Amino acid sequence: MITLEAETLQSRFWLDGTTEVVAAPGPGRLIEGGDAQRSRTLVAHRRQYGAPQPAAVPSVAIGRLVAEAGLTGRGGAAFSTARKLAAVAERGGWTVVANGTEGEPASRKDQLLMTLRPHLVLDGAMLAAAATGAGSVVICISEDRPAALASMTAAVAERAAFGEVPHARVVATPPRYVSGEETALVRWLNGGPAKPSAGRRRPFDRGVRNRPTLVQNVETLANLPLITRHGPGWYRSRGTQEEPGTRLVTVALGAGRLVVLEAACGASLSEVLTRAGVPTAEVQAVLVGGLYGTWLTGRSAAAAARLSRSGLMPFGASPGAGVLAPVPWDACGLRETARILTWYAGESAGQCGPCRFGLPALAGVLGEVAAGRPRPGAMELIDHYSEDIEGRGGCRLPDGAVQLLRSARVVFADDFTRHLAGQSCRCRPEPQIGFRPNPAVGQ
Amino acid sequence: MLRNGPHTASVDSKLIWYSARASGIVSWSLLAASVVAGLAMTSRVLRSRARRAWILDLHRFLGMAALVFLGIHVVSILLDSYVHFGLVEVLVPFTGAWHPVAVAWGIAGFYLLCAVELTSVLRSRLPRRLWRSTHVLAFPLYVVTTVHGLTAGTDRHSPVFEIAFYGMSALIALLLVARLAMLRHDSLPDPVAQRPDRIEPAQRARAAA
Amino acid sequence: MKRTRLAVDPILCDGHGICAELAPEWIRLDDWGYPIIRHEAVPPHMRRRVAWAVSNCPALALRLEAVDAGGVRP
Repeated sequence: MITLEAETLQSRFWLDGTTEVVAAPGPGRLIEGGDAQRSRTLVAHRRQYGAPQPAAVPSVAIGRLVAEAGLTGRGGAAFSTARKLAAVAERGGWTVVANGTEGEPASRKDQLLMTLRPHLVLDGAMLAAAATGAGSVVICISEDRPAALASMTAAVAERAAFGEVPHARVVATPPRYVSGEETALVRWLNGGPAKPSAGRRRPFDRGVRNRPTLVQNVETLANLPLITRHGPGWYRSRGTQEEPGTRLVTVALGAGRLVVLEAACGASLSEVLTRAGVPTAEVQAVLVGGLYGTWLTGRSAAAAARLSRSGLMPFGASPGAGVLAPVPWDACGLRETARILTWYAGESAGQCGPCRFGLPALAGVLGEVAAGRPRPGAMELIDHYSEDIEGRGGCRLPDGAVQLLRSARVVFADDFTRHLAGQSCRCRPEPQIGFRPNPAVGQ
Repeated sequence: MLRNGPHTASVDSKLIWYSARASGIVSWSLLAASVVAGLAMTSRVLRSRARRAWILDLHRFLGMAALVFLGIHVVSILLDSYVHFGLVEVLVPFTGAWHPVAVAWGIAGFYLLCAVELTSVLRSRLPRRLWRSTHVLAFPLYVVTTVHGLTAGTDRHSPVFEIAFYGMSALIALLLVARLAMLRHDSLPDPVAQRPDRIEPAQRARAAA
Repeated sequence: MKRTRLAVDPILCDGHGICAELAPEWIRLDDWGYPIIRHEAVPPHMRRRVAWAVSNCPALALRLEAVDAGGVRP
């Protein structure tokens, strides 16, 4: 049972009425003290953060500042933000899409950010628009996140009331994992389904209305006003040389409880977990990155793993969407993985055969192993399916499933052996890692 | 031995008239068969056992043959002395005196078939969207041609042909509905619990190995 | 002649399987009827077959691309 030390936590929020999200304090930049009232209104926001684009920073300089700061994407892909800005700017940007869909179901950081600091996100989007020459901003939020939707909509309306018209609008998207993919968002905004298009045309070249479009995660955008105001040097004062700055992390605590906190890039996983109230001695394994992620043993997490690409690469992992989901010793990692693979299968957009048929097949075989009723040749079949679906989808969904499963076979090797031998699993049956379920058919 | 005279003239003109009728019926039949082959090719029903490249080849052949026989049909009508069709009456609808509406359906079908065949021949050189949107016209093409057969055809009142027309139309409608249902099903992935286990053949092979 | 590789657009692909019939040495079908294509550059003796498979795909999902080209996804 993972326990929480009450002294480390402060404000509590209920997002959407079902998930408790607690913003833990720390020397953060994006979230400070977790005080909801501090900067929700525009007036309070300006008082705390000031104007996003000081007079000394012309639009042409924004890209350069971001490049010097070394900001990378916080949506999972970690692409260089400066390069993305430049790619759109040199083609003459049309619109900026602030990606607040947060399709990663175990993550809550983007929702929290949009609920606590809507104006920071808006400032960032407007700066990105200025840097790329875009004339409009679209904020995409998943339709099953009413708190974030309400917060951003109110913020946009408030700006209009103050006479600042950011040409921004909030658009709800279907609550699917793949809907948050860049090309899926573009397709949705162009009136099509929110499903990835595997075309070779990337949004920075041909996106919304076939014009150059910048698609950027809301947390990434929220960093822009801080960089332009305080400078790249300030931004680099935390984090590592290769990965400067801070990032938001969602720590899943089981039973639907989550902690969102801000940590410096390169912080040790054990430090982050401890701050979230999770004693590392009680951690059997940690899922790092999200359901699109990799398992790490509790020992590695405690010992050497750090929250950065270089800090996680030796373990075959990466920060991903910034999710840490620890499981205690009395939980069955194999069952958790099987549950997650079933989720993957239900998230297929259904556009590509290998994913549409392969993911359920893979999830089915693994489910049998997890239930202690493996079919003969189950592991060979799992190998066969993994090989056959990896890299053959129109997006990376099947790759995530294969990568997760691969890491599970290493980290939970003992569990696999036991289950394959037909021995009963003496672990607790309740699911440990809480995440948003698959949307209903038709959504 | 035929000598020029009223009797021979009527045999000749009858021959041309029969040719027009026959080639029309044959062209329609080839078109209908081509549509069925095209639908069969994309249907999931014929998955693992059918040799699909063969069906694709057949589909193409039937389409081209339909066009050829349509050409014979049009030329026969031009040559025929009974109904007085000139080039204008054959290419422009509502210009002839004989059953103008019924003929107009046929002329529309002629242009549609030309469009479908032309874009298919040039398929690799055309943008994918253009080919696909033109090819879908094959269905209105079939409808238009069938209406032409039912309203202009000399044999339209024969029960054999009525059965053929309605029967074939019903078959194509059924296949089309099945295909559309399949498309719709494709776009809504089912929850995992309801998805049937499709791995049986491979699994059995592995278990045996 | 520059080196080319055969690639499939997985979204356009409908699993007809005609390509695997026409170029079985280069394309095989997975358990669900979708093509698994060899990654290497197409050797000269296979070029005609592979081009034939490309032009006969009912979904126009196959294409030949230069070997140094980026793939369909980043």
